[in-house]
Amino acid sequence: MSRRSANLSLWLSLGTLLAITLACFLGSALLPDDAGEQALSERLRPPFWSPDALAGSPLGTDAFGRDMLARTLEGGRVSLEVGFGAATGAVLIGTLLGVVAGFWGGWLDRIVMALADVWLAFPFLVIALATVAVVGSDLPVLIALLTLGGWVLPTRVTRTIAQRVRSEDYVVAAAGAGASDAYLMRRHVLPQALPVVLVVWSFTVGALVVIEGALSFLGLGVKPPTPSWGNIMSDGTVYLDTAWWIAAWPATMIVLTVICANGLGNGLRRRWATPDTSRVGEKAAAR
Amino acid sequence: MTDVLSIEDLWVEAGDPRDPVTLVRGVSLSVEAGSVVGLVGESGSGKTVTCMASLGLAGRGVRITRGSVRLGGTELVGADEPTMRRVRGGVVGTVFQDPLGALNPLQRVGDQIAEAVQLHRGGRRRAHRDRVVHLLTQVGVPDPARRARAYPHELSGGMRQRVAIAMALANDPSLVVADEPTTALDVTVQAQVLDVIRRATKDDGRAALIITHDLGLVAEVADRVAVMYAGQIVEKGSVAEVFAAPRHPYTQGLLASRPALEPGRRRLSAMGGRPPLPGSWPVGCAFAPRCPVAVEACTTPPPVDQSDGRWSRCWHPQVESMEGVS
Repeated sequence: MSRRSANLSLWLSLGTLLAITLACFLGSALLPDDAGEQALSERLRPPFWSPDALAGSPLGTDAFGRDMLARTLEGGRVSLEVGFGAATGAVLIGTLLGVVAGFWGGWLDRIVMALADVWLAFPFLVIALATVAVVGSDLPVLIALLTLGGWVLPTRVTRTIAQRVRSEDYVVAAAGAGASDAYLMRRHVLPQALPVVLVVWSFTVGALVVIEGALSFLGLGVKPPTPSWGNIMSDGTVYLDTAWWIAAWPATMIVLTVICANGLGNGLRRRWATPDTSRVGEKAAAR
Repeated sequence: MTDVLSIEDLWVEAGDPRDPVTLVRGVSLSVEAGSVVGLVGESGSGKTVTCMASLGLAGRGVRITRGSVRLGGTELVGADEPTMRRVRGGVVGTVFQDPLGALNPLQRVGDQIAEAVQLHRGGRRRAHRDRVVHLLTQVGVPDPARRARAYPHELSGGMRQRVAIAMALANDPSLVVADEPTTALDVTVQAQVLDVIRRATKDDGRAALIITHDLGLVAEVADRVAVMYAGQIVEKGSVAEVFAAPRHPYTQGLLASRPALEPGRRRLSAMGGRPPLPGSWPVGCAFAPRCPVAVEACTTPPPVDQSDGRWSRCWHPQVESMEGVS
């Protein structure tokens, strides 16, 4: 892939992702219709291209007559909050653990890496289901849970970088100039890890939006009446043969978000082509 | 004269604590205030490990098992991290072999020098700009204010090493430790950098410990020299004495294998064999297998001979002049 087309996919993905995010966060506030407002006389109205479409509901209505545009955007707000929030949390925790483990090594490194291996050995969705069944599925719980779902990748890649940078001569030189370990990590390791961390963050957003969708679809994520892409899809499955649009809109949004998040990750990776970032692409692709 | 650095009976080992490899065996070495000491030896002789372990920079798994390192009155063996940090960069400045590796490629060189100042004097990096320009001038970097804004890859090898030396001098240390400071440079640049080192040390009355395998460098800048072989010092003394009449056969061999700029064709003499690897050092004199004058006694640890005010670790120190050897 040429540099130019890599940049095109980067900007296209970034633009679309920003548009989706803005629409979801601002749109639900700006739209006249409330996502929860029912109108039982206007149930299951089709989207705008059909002659039966309801004026003011271009994407149709669901089984309670709720406006699908408002629901899709409001559901997106919830899904993206979970996705962005958990990905950010995962990357923060992972970077901290990875940098410290890689820099110091020894028993700390062994413990962190063993935890990562053990964590990956469990099927995450099963852990998530069990936790949600016991603790419930408030938004903070979901974000915390998905944060745990995403910490391993950023931990591993930043650890590798920290290990490499740690033995660079300029780090030893800076230590020779009197720098503390914390200073070396902050000033020499972190700046090198930053591009990779951003790439990992954007891949993680994609992965976590899917997991949130899956949990909510199974009824174990965001609880109705709060909409999320996952639970709107779940509602829609009953009407797939008569009102397919209910499930189709959130599904489309999830697919679009994931494609854009991965496109953003790949684009950043190519733009900042370093050995570190290309390895991340392989790891993310392997998942 | 007082000693700036005094290493006493230093033992260093590395690797698995249950099956350690000894790297340094009882090295004693001192650097007087204002004097320049050259530490020479082949690769793997333990000269770099001696210095880096003394400063606690040798890396994971390298341990000092015995001995004492006193730097300006502070004991460094077993010292806590804050003490070590105050000493590193403050009392002792370090110059590394590869100037490109010793500079962070992502930071402007001026920022890196400022960082070295900031670590000890506090304040913001920008506040030390004048100090940075002063340091760069001191090491002979032309147009220092502009060069301070350059990234390492924009500078030549010689300029980078000057920057690295400026970093080492950032807090006006009383001792500079330089690990092969000219090895990675072009021959034409070596002389210039050597000049910078000489000015920054000898001419400023600052003590220096220069690790090198370049005997010419030692002859030019050092007052005293210590020769290491297989983790031990085999001979030490003033440069004048050691170069004129080496006592240890190894020192003789080293000096004899220098190319000489004299008229007449002469084969370059070389020592046979290679130095033993750490972990497989012989019980007796480690140099015995390669020594032209080895005898039966050399299979037992050699004593230190201190006759005539000289210092060598040999069963039969050579007292005749170099003539017969070369």
